[in-house]
Amino acid sequence: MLKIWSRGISTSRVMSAPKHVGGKSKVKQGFKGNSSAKEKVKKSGMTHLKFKDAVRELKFEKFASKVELPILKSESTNGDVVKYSKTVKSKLEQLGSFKKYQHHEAFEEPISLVSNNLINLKTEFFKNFGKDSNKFILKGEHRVGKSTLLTQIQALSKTQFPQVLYLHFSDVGKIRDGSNDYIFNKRLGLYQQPMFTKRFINDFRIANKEVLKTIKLSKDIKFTANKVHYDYKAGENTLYEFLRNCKDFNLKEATSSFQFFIEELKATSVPKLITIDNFNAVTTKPITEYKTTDFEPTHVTEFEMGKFIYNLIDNTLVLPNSGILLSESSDYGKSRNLDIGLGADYNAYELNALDSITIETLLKGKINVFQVENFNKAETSKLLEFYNKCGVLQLRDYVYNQRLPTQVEQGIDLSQLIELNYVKSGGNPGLLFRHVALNY
Amino acid sequence: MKANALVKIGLSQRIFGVGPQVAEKLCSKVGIYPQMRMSELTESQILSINKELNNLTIEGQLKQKINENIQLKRSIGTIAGMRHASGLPVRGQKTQNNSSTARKLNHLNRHV
Repeated sequence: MLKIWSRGISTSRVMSAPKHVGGKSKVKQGFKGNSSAKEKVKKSGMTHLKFKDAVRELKFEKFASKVELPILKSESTNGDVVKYSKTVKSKLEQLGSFKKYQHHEAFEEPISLVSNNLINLKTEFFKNFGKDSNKFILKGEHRVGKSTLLTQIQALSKTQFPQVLYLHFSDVGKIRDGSNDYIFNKRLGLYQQPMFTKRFINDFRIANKEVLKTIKLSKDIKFTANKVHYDYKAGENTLYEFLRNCKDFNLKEATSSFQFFIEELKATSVPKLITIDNFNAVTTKPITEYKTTDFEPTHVTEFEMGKFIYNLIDNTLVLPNSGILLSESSDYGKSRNLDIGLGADYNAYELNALDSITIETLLKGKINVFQVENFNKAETSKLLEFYNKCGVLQLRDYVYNQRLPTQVEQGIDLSQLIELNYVKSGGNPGLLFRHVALNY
Repeated sequence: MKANALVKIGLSQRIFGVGPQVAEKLCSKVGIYPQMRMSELTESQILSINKELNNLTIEGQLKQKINENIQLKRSIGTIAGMRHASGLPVRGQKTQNNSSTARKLNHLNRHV
C-alpha cells in the first residue's frame, strides 16, 4: 500500500511574521528619546551587608524591649545586670570598646553582668593604681568576656577617678597588619603611621574632651595648620587645643607631634587608664606585614606606636599615675611568646620560633595574669532571668527534650532551662547567648 | 586595572613579567603600604611606580627576550630547541598522554 506522507505546513505562522526587509535594518538617526531609557528598578532588601553586619548597621537595638536597668557603679554587687551611664557610654563608643559581633543589638543599650571576675579584678587593679607594677593581662577561653571585662573596668575607672584619661587601643593588630600607611622618620629612627596615629588621637581627644581641657601644656610649641600659624605657650594653652588644631599627626611627612604628645602625658599627674585589647595580635606575630625599602621584614618595635606600647610595658616609658590593662584575643591563634613572657618555661627546640624582643619586654614588665573564669550557676541564672525579661530567651517550638517546656503561655520553668543551658555552655557567656538566642 | 584591587595584586595580574613577589618588592621600594588599593594611589606614587617599572624587563621586551632565547636554542640545535620546534614538552615530561599544554604553547615564536 502506498502511503503518501505529506508534511503538514501551516501558513498561518508565516503570515503573521513581520515583513522582512532586505539588507541592514535602517536605524533612525537622532537622539534617543527619554521613553527608551530604562527606569531604575529598586532592589529589594535594606542593605548590601550580610546578616551579621546588617543587624548592627540597621540598628536593630531600636526594636529591643525596654527594660529599666541600674548603672554600673563600684557598689554594684555580684549578679547585677547593669548598663553604662550615658556619658561613659558615649566615651566608650568613641574609643571602640563596644565591638561588633558582641550582640548588642539584642538589647536597647549595651548591658553587662557584674561577675566575680569584675569584683576580683576591680579590687586588685584599683588597689595599686598608679604604681609601676600595676599591669594586668586578661586571659581566658574564647567568648568568656575578656573585652567586656576591659570595658567594665574602663567604666568603673570613671567613678573611681572622675578625671581619668582613657588611652585605649581597641585593636593593636592594626599596627602590624599593613592596613595603614607608613613613613620613615630619620630623626627618630622609627616608622610612623599617620592614618593610625590620626585615628587614635582623634578618638582620644573626643573621648577625653573635658579632662583634656583642664590640662595645660608643659612646653611651648609652634606649628602651622590650614595656613594658620599657632604659637602655644606653656601654662596658657591646653592639651585639648593642641590636639584639636595640630594636623601634623596625619602629615605625610616625618613629624614629632606624637613625641610631644607623649611628653605632655608624662608631665601631667592626671590618672591615666591604658587599655590594650587584642594584645596578643602583636606578640603572636611581632614581625609586621610592612617591608623596608630593601624588602626586609620589620619588627613592631620599629614603628612609633609599637615602640610606644612596648615602652609602656617594659617601664622604659612611665606615665605617672597610670594603670595598664591588657587583654588577649582568641582570634589570633596561640603563640608561645606571650606565655613565656609571662613566666612559662620553654625548651631549646622552640627558640627559633620565638621573638626575643617581645619576651624580654614582657619579662621586664612583670605583668600580672588575671584568669577570666566562666560564670557560675548563680550568675548564669541571673543572666537568663534577665534574658527572659527582655524577651531574648527563646524556646523551641518542638519537644527537644521531655523536660523542656514547650509553650511560653504555660509559664516557663526557668530552673530547668537554666540547668540545661548551664550544662550546655559551661557558664561561658558567649556560648550561653548562642544557645539561648541564636541556636534555639 | 580594577580600582578597588590591592596595588600589589593589580600590578601582578595586569603586567606581564610582574608577579606577586616583584609587585610586593616594588610596592615596598616606593613606600606603598600592603593593603593599599589602586584608587588610593596619588599621582606621585603612580609616577614612581612607572619609574621603577621602566627599570624592569616587562611586557614586549620580556616576550621578545623569551622568543629570542627559544630561537637561539633552535639555531644551535639543542634538544630543548627541537622540542620547542616540534611543540612537545621540553623538560623531560612524558608524552604518551597529557602534554596538551606543551602542544598548545611550545612553539618557536611563543609570544607573538
